[in-house]
Amino acid sequence: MTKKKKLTLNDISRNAEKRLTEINIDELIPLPPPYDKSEELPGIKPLTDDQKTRLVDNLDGFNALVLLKPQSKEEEDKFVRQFEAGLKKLLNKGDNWTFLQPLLLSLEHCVRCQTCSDACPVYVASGKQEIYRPTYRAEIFRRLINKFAKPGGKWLAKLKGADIKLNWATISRLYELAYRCTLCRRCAQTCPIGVDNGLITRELRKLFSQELGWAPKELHEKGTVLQLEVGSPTGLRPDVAKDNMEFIDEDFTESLGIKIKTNWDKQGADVLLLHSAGDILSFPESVIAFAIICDKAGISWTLSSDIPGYDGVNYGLFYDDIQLAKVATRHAQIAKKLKVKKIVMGECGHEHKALATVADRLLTGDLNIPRESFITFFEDIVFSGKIKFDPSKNNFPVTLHDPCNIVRNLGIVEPQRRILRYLCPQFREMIPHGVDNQCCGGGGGLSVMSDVNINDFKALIAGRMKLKQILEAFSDHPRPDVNKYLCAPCLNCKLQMRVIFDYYGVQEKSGIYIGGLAELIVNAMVDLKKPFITWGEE
Amino acid sequence: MSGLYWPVFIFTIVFVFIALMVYRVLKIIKMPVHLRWELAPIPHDKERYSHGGSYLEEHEWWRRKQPKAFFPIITYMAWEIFLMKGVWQHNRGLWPFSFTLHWGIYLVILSLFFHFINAMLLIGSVPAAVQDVFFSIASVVAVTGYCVGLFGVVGLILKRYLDKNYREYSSYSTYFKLLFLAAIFVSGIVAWALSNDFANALGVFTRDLFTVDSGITTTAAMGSHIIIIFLFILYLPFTDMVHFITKFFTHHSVRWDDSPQNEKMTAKLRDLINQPVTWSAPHVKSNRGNRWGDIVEKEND
Amino acid sequence: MAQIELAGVMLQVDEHGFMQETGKWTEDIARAYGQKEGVTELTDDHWKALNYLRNYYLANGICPMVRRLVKETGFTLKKLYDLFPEGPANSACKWAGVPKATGCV
Ligand code: SF4
Ligand code: SF4
Repeated sequence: MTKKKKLTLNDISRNAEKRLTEINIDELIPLPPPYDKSEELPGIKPLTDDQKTRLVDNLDGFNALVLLKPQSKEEEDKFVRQFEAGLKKLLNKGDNWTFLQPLLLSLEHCVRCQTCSDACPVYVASGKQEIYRPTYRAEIFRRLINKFAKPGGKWLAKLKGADIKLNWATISRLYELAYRCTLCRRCAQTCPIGVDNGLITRELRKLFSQELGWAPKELHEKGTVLQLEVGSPTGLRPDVAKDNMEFIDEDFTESLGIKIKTNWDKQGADVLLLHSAGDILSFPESVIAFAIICDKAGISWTLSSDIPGYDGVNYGLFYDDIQLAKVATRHAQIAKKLKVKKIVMGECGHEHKALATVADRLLTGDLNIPRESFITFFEDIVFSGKIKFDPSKNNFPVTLHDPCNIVRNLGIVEPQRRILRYLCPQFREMIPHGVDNQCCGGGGGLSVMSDVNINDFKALIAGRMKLKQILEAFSDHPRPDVNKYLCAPCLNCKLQMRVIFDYYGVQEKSGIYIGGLAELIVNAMVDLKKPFITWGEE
Repeated sequence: MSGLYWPVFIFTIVFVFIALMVYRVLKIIKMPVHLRWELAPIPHDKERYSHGGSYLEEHEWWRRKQPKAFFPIITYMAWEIFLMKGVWQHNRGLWPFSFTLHWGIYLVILSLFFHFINAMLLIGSVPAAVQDVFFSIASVVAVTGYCVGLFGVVGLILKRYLDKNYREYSSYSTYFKLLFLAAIFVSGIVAWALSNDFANALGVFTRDLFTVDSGITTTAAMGSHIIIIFLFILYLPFTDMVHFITKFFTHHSVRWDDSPQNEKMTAKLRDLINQPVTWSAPHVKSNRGNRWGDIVEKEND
Repeated sequence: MAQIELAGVMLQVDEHGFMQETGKWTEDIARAYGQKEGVTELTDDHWKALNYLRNYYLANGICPMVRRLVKETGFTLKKLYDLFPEGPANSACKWAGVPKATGCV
């Protein structure tokens, strides 16, 4: 194998047709057995010949964005000019008041000390591929902003030796590269200056979306746009949502032997539960568990069948401020219309971050309805004595994943642990955990994205540190003979972990099952005669 | 350089430096309220800081006023400033150089302060014995600063140049900045070595400076050292080294800013969403000038 | 947009080979998809699942949840994987000519 040439920052604008880097699975950091043999894994799905002729493929061999090759030099130049215009708009108060201050603070004060690099799960897992270093992307972007959006930038760039070319190669690669970061912000946590490379990545995505109209299909066209139109990025219409819930209610009523009934559009209820629609479709047991807990605790609760009141996701958080604001505003309007006392955000991390904090300064006046995490909501119930628990029902190994958007970003760390320490006798922590957790690898929208072969990136690189941690947490029972529960209280995380688990065959090889927090609470209830957690059995 | 050039040179630079720093800080302060983007752990949450928690850990947190503690913020900053705690934890290979360079700078600043005190003592004609003590302190502080700082800065230059993790991210301006700092330390050592009453001479110089004595003068070596220091002070506001002050804002105004919306903010926000937007992507429907708030409110079509 | 030819028809598909114009679907297309994944013969069981999927999609604009598919067809999840090598979401939906499910599912 020939040694790779060290990648330079200026390489980004050279050879638009060539890949910047090739990923070799053997260079990634090793995984514990039985996952250490790369030849037994599916590998990286190569692009087909047809895809190679149609799609831009000049980054790392992964493709998330299905960017079509431009037909002419003119078309390329047009995009480059738009990008340049976008750089300026990011520094413009009217266009970017939402993040101007954090952006400028992060752009202007990085001292290139590289303290952040080793915190990045993508960079480290990749065996330190330069291309994934948090500062690689950020420094290129910084140099572009300095050169094209600031007075005297062009000659200052030369003088400082920080010149960088803006051309088709640069922008097409930056676009894909903006989606090799999970916005987990581990890097930001370690930066001694307080620079946030995750934020910089998001601003870059924003420029592409808000100026060029470039965004991953799953996040935009089939994401926020579909959600605002139909009700949910899954395509779930209100009537179908209700119909599905009715089906699950009946199904669980039958299998559990207790009456379950979802409340819809109850005016004046205390609590509006805002789940992700994906939980209804892919993890219905989670939604049912919420209903059981609320009913047993005597809470007055409701779901909403307004568009998009039954889907709490907000992909705008990942790539576009306008879409973020639209979705958050609709959610608040629905709560206002129902006259609920508060919104309880379901097991979805980015919904938490979007609605609890980021949108807090978008929802003015009577739209600023109190919003609480399901975690504190549950903690209050679990320790209120209203429900009787028998923790021995949860006597199996349990570990907890900390969704970045709930833990690192919101600082909700202990309540979920108090619940687990009480209800799960074999609860054990991962290392590191809490605010230092490793990201699942599906943050920043990656979890929702699945085009071409990006799932291979998510399983092999982005989720690698997480997989390692999970396996290590259960190293006392490495084999599938003992069922183990990975509690991941976030839909995006669960879906990403499913991608990892499918890729490596983790459920079969190690006997680890993915679920949320609500299921563990219900499983421990004395009143429930049958086990709620069924380990994949129907 | 002698006579009145000195006070003009030095006080102009100090004035320009202050003006530039005030400008940079005002620019930051006057930026619009931004959306929340906090990051745990947040030290002002006194009870929960140890595990990185925030007030959002509290059931119905809005029912209670959430106090912000002041002390932990000071401790946090002190550990950062004096011990470079973050670099120690996350980048130990850099720490010896970063730490010594910073301490070199701190000590040089401290020595400037001592020279000022010495000038005052000279003006007040305190007994020679007392003055000698202060001269010695100033000398020790300054020379230690030069040596420690030089070690750090040479280490950093080598590290930047030799370590592949740094080389690509170091531009001319990075080296220029470091060499500039090295020049301060080296010229300081030279000035000290060539003079047998280093602190005394600087004390006298400082006195003449503040009394705007036209007889002010100094040796070539000492003069060069002083000029380099003040040119550096002039250069500093144009570089990322302003982080000594902007770090306050990256932390306070972003990372630790978890204040829920309040009335003052609401008023500002109302203005902000009334501003015209010019983004060109079709879905924004800005029409190059529609207002932010309207774009968001408008029903999707 | 990618194109493939199946059962003599040129089809617009996404990058994973899912049909984009569901109206063009025919039973032969389902068979051709099956062939591509090594299933040479579509049995009654296959059709039971495929027809249910397709009709559900046409009525509801979305693929049925797996739990529902299991209940309505009476097949276990394992059986569904035996019938459709890549499972219900990646094979069955594709063969039934409906778009790939996205958006947190
Ligand atoms: S972002 Fe922070 S940690 Fe990373 S190189 Fe810049 S200053 Fe250093
Ligand atoms: S936000 Fe996370 S994934 Fe992105 S650069 Fe920082 S550490 Fe890496």
